[in-house]
Amino acid sequence: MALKGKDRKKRDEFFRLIEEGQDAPAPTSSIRVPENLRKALRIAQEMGYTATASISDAAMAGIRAELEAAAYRMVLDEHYQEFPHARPDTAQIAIALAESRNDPLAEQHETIRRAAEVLQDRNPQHATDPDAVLLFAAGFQAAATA
Amino acid sequence: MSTNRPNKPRTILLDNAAIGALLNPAHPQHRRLMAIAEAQRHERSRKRNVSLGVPLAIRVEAKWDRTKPDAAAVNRLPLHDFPLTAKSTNVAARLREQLGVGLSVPDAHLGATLHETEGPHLIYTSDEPYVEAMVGNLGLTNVTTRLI
Repeated sequence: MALKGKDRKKRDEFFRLIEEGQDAPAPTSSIRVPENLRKALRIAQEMGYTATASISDAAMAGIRAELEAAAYRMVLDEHYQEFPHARPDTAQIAIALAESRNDPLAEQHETIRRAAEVLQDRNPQHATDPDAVLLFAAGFQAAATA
Repeated sequence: MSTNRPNKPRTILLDNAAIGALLNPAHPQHRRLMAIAEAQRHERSRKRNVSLGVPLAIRVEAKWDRTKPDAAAVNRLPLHDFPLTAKSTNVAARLREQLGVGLSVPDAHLGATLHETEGPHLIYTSDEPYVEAMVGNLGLTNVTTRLI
């Protein structure tokens, strides 16, 4: 959506803050985490199932991921407002997702496109989810090689 | 595309050509770069940890000034800047010494970034054979290249 004056200021402030990054001062604060989750994290660390060093690290990773997702969404929405032709379709996004995961489906562009079309027809509420497209595509590929 | 198929990449890098396609809405591969950005947004919304970015010497090569006020919105995509630190400078200098002046400074920084960041790696490039040859000469494994 096109951003109006106040929203544009908020957006600019948002990006200024996230671009400040790791060097920004961090006032002392405590994260209130239920004791059961602290203990569970300690066990997962002892058993080697997580490399997360602390509750704070785990929380920061989650916050960072959330903010980056928001930043991507803001930028892409604004970009498509100005350049509508730049918006990729779900098949293209699914192909990029498969590539970024080194998924063998990454080479199967036609299978992915077909999966996106079928999903749009049969299950439109999931048609914009690239993970759903890749699952469908995996199903087609399995059926083809069965 | 390289035939080696390592595990899921933890670091994804863009070369000069990929940046050109990213920043120019009229570029024939621009939608492909938008799809790559959308895929990364999708991963982040599911808290999947992967770093997408650019070695800073390649950003210089691409003349990408992220503070340019009249730039398109896409200029602000939260891509990671991989710096040329003292440590990566030593690695890049060593690579140029080993491979000769055929290896440009931005590409040497790309090689140094591969050394310094968490793998496996994925590189988006318009010149797969060149990048694959550089990666091979560097003795690096777990690196996949993709054509943009």
